[in-house]
Formats: sequence, C-alpha cells, structure tokens
Amino acid sequence: MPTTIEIKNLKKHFGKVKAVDGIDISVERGEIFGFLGPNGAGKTTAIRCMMDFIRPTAGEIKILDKDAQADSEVLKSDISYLPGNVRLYDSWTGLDHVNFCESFGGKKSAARELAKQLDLDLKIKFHHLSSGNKQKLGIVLALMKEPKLLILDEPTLALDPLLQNITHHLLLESGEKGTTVFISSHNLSEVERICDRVGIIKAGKMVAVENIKNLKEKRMHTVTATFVDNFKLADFKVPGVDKIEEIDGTLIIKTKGEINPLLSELAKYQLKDLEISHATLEEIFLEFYGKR
Amino acid sequence: MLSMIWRTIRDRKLVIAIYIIVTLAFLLMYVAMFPSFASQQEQWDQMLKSMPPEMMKAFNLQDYSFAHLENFLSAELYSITWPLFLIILAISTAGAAIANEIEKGTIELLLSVPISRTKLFISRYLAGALTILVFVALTIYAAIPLAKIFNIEVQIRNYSSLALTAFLFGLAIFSIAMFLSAMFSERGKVYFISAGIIVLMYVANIVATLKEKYADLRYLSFFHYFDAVKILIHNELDKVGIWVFLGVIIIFALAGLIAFEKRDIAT
Repeated sequence: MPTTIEIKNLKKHFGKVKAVDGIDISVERGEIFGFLGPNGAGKTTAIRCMMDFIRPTAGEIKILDKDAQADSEVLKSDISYLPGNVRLYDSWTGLDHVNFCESFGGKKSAARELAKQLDLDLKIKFHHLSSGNKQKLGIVLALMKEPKLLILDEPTLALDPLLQNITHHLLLESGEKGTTVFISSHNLSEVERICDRVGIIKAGKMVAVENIKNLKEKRMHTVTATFVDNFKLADFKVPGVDKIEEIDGTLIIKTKGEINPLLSELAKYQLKDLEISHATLEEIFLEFYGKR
Repeated sequence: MLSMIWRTIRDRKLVIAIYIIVTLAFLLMYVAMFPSFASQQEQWDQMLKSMPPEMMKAFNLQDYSFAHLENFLSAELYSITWPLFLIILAISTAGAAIANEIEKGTIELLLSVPISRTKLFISRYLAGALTILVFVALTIYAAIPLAKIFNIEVQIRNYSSLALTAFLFGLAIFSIAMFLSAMFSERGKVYFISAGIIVLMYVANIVATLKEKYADLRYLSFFHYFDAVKILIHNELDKVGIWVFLGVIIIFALAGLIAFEKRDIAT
C-alpha cells in the first residue's frame, strides 16, 4: 500500500523545550489516522511542521512522496488543513472566503453543497458568525478542494455533539472517496469512532501506534450504581471489572475494555441511579503508557 | 499571485481612499488659499524675513514665499503634513501585510493555499508599492488641475520630479516596515519600531542643520534626501538620494523576503 505521510525522526525544539522529539509516523493512502495525545503533547507542533508553517529542527517529512518543505507549494494543491479554532477574515463573507479558495483550486459547487449540508449561510460576514458556524465555514473551505490529504487539528473542539456527528460523517465520507485523513484529537471516543489507526503522542514522543481494535480494548469506564435493594458484591466480579468500591450502598466500579458483562449483571437488579463515565485520556495514558 | 495582490488592495481600499481624500482636502485648501496670500506677497515676505534664520533653516523654510504656488505648497504641505500621511500609510500597509495576519491567525489560510511564501511576500509587497504609487501620484499631480481651476500658474515638470522622489521615499519606508513585518508577529512592534526609526531620522536631520559638527548626520536621514523645497521650487533631483532610496528598498525588501522564508509562523 503506498504511503501518503512518511515522517522520520521529526524533532522540533524551541530552545530547551522539546515540543516534538523524534517521532516516526507512516500513514497509508486512504487511511483515517488519528493522532491522539493530551494537551501540550506536541500534536499541533507536528501538524504545523507537516503544513510547513514551522520548520523542523531535524527529521524528514514526506507527503505524497514529496518533501513537505521543499515542495510545499505543489503539495498544498492536494492538501486541505482545518484547525480547531478557525480564524478567517472578519470583514469577508463566507462566499468571499469560498471565492478566495476557488482561485486556488477549490470547487465552488462543492462548497455550496457542503454549506447546504451544514446549514450554513455563506452570505454572512465572518465576524457575525457563531463559533460553531465559523468552524462550519472552516470545514466547507477544507473540503471544497476535494483534497488527497486532509489534515485536521482538533477540528471538533468548538462544536456541539450534533455538529461533531455531522463532521465525523463528512470525514468518513471523504475517507470512503479515497482521501487520506490525518486528524489530531485528545478525544478518545472521537478517534475510536472514525479512525482506522491511531498514533499516540506524549511529551513530544510517540508512545504507540495502535489499530483501533487494540485501542478499544484499552477503554476504561467508571460505573456508579445505586441499588433499590440489597446486592451481592460478588455478582459484579465479571470479566473487564478492574476495581470495586462500596460507599453507603453505592458501588463505584472501574472497568477496562469490554463493559457489557458488567451491564448484564447490573440489569438483573433494580437501580435507583446509574452513571457511566469515560476515563480521561490522561488516566488511560497513566494506566497503559505511563511507564514507557 | 495577481489574485492575492488584488485581494490585498481590495481589503484596504477604504483605508487607502480615506488617506487620499483627506490629503486631497488639504491640497485643495492650500491651493484655494494661495491666491489671497499671493495678493499680499510683499507684506508676508517682510514678515518672514523677520523670523530667526536658524529656525527657518532648521525647518527648511528658507525659500518660504508666496511668489509661486510651488514655494507655498512645498513649505506648507509637501515638507511636513504630506510626508507624515505618506509615512503613516506606508507603515500601516506594511504592518497589515504580514504581522497583522500572524497576529490575527489569518496567515494560516494564506499558508494553506498553493502559493509559496516567496510569492506571498512579493504579492503583499507589490500591493503595498501600488498603494504608495497611487497615493503619491494622486496627491501630487492633483495640484496641477486644482491650480488651473484657481487660475494659478504651475511648473508641471517639478511635480513629476517630486512624485518620483516621493515614491522612492515612501517605498524605502515601506520596505523597512515590511522587513519588520516579516520579522515580528505583532503589528504593534512594526509600528513602534518603524515610527522610532523615522523620528530618529527627522531629529538627525534637524540636529545636522543646526550644529555644524553634526552635519554628517544628515546623510543618515531620509529627510535630507527628500527635500520637497529643492525639488518643487528648483526642480533639483538629488541623484545620491535616489540611489540611497533604491539601495534601502532593495536591501530591506530582500531581507524581509529572506526573514519571511526562514521563520517559523505559529499563530
């Protein structure tokens, strides 16, 4: 399978700060690759190096078999970029931005179609748009080019769950059309939902590259259940349960990986209240990658 | 690249129009005032002779007179007020060209489209140069038709000499500011440092005029080479000045281009 992105030993140091410290990434053509890491891990720095906004201290970045810096101008005909916090020209309307991108190879008809799908009015000036609509415009501009590679830096950061869903749908659709998608996120469930593979970065270093199945096995939940009647603690010692704690008739259960065996047991009881929360990325990192 | 130049000018058309209209209003006012001053030329000339010669020299008013429109305009408009408008326009255009884009984060859109940093810098530079050219041409050559309206005689060739030197003067300031704009990520720094350099040049020129032992300082000042009085009244083109301006333009434009090419751009 030909590769779209080939990064070797990429380093970007700002004085003594090693924002990115020797990462290797290989992304195949047509793949949706998640770039997962907590805030400050080096995701945005790596992406800015890929986009040639900043220059690496060392290492090599090849995109579509071309050098990301030397061939930057040519490459950008085939790359679209979407940051998490889209900043565009306040005095321009959405249509002005579309026209601008059209003059560099974007397709206006695709932009109009996307705007319709996202329910975005292109006649409104950028500074009058809500943060969600600003991000929608960013999505329109990124996708109107129908690029070979989409680079997205936390694209759903400012979006509500409904818009996140629409964005995920559009990204999956792009992937189906053969576009390679490189998406950074600190949201595990987002990455699980749309990506084929995930690179995990922590403190500027790649900790692991996992396929999505392996990552799902590393899911952690905290289940808090309050019962109507008495319960047997032993009933909940099922596969996937890592730790059980009882406080005043309420069980706090930590799980790793599959949660269904526990839910089946809970379903046998009458419950007063039930809360299930995902572990934070930091907790997962500490559990699985902390010692690496 | 043409599309980038056009959009840059389109975005700043209102600002450019305001600068031009305000400057033309000043020009109209001085041209309209001139006939009434000229009719009392003798009294005014006597009054000017009573002024301290050192002060007149320091502010380049030795040739201040109401004999011709060129004497009046060179002293009243083209020596202080007009250069001030040109300097502000040049610095603000340069600050908006790159540093402001980085400060506001809009540079990411520009760097995401298929255009090299070199072409981006050149297109911004050319858009700025065109802005200065339009400002200079309109606000200098407009004196000729305005003078005709008020039946005043004009030396047309002198205005061309002034326009040429003024354009190079403006472009030299713009080039320095563009270099700073390529270096910094905040337009405030561009404005502050550029304005500081211009003020130092202005002071250096005055000190050089007043104190003989500091006379050589004048060579460090653009205001020595852009002498509206000499050009507009006597049609004297300072060839050394033209070379100095061309040198500054080339050096700072290239330095700005290299700085923009090499730097990290993080918003």
